[in-house]
Amino acid sequence: MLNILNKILVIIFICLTVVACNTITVINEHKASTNIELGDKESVVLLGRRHLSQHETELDYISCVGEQLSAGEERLNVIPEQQFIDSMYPYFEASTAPMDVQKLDTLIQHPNVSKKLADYKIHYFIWIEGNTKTIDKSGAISCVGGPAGCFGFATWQDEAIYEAKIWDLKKTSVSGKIHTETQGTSFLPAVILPIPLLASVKSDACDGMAIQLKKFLN
Amino acid sequence: MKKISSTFFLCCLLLLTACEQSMVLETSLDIPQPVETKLPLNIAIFYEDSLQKYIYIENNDDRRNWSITIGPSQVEIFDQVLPTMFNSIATVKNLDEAKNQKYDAVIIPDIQDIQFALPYETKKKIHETWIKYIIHIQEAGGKPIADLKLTGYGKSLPNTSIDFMLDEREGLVISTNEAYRDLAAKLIVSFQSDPAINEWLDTKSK
Repeated sequence: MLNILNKILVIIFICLTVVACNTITVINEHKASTNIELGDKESVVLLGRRHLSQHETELDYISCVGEQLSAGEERLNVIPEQQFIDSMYPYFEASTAPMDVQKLDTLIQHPNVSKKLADYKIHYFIWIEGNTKTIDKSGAISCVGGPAGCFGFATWQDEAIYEAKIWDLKKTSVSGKIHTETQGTSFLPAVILPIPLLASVKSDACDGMAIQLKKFLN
Repeated sequence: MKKISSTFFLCCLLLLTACEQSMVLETSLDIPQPVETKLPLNIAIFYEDSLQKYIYIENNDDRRNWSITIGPSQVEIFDQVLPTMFNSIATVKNLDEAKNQKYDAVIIPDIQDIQFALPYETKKKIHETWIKYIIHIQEAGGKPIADLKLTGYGKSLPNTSIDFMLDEREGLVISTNEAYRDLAAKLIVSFQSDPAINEWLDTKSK
């Protein structure tokens, strides 16, 4: 009897492993008619939108995309977000950052601001808006102390929606937009020990965005 | 018997003082050096006593005997930011002193309100701070130029610590520092973009 139960549990575990951890990413790209001309020595800066406190773009998502852009083939010169925000203080804080290219155009009229941007050799601003959140969850796990451990099953679905807007600093115009939507379901079966089978939603959304941005800018 | 009663009295005293949550928010003012866009003005700043000695007091079921001293850090923030905005800046002890000197304008910061939110009150389990100010700007003679209404907002990162008391203080310091940073940014940007200030600057330059 115990043998049959063990076999059933192993089959359930294998099925869950196959089903879980899968994510689906959908990417849409809109490119303006202007050409993308990023020189070898030019840089891009990647910034998260954080003007609405409940819908802030996560710092780790921005650093993940930044790291991916500045690594591997066709790598880009990416200025780290916090370094850029600090050095441009107070013009790129969450509450003071330009919300459109017209505001950026006004900002670069300050000689010291435009000089700093020139020192960085920035050609493109990439503004990323969005976040990852849990949209559905069900099931329950109960744990008791001692050898009895945990028993139950929980599942939740995460959704990562991000949109990148690419601004051309030299032309003060919008060069394009990239929209990514990633969904994935995680499972947490528990028979004595909880075994998390996590879907890497944010990480996959980061990969998808970075790959698309590289294609866009190269 | 005497020993027991004095020990009991000491224990009671300890318990009573333990209930008091008096905090001094020692802010580190993590404000970067602003991109220099100094205005060619000689400015006086006047800190009223109410600002310098400001203590936030709250006493209810959730925040028992809160007493948070934040006045000194507010003075510190203006002392740090204003010299990056103007040609020269001097602190005056009263408004008459400003009148007698040849300052272009006097800045009088006036704190209106301060609010804190604790992790269990916020959906994201973070500490939040709001500091609301009116910055009065007037000519040395007393003629009003503009009143800038500014709110600095700051928050800590999500709370994962189990050390509640330590966390409360640290979380509030982080969120208050962020609020000061936000306030300073808004002050600099507002001074460059406020219509009444721009009009006054235009009149002054003619």
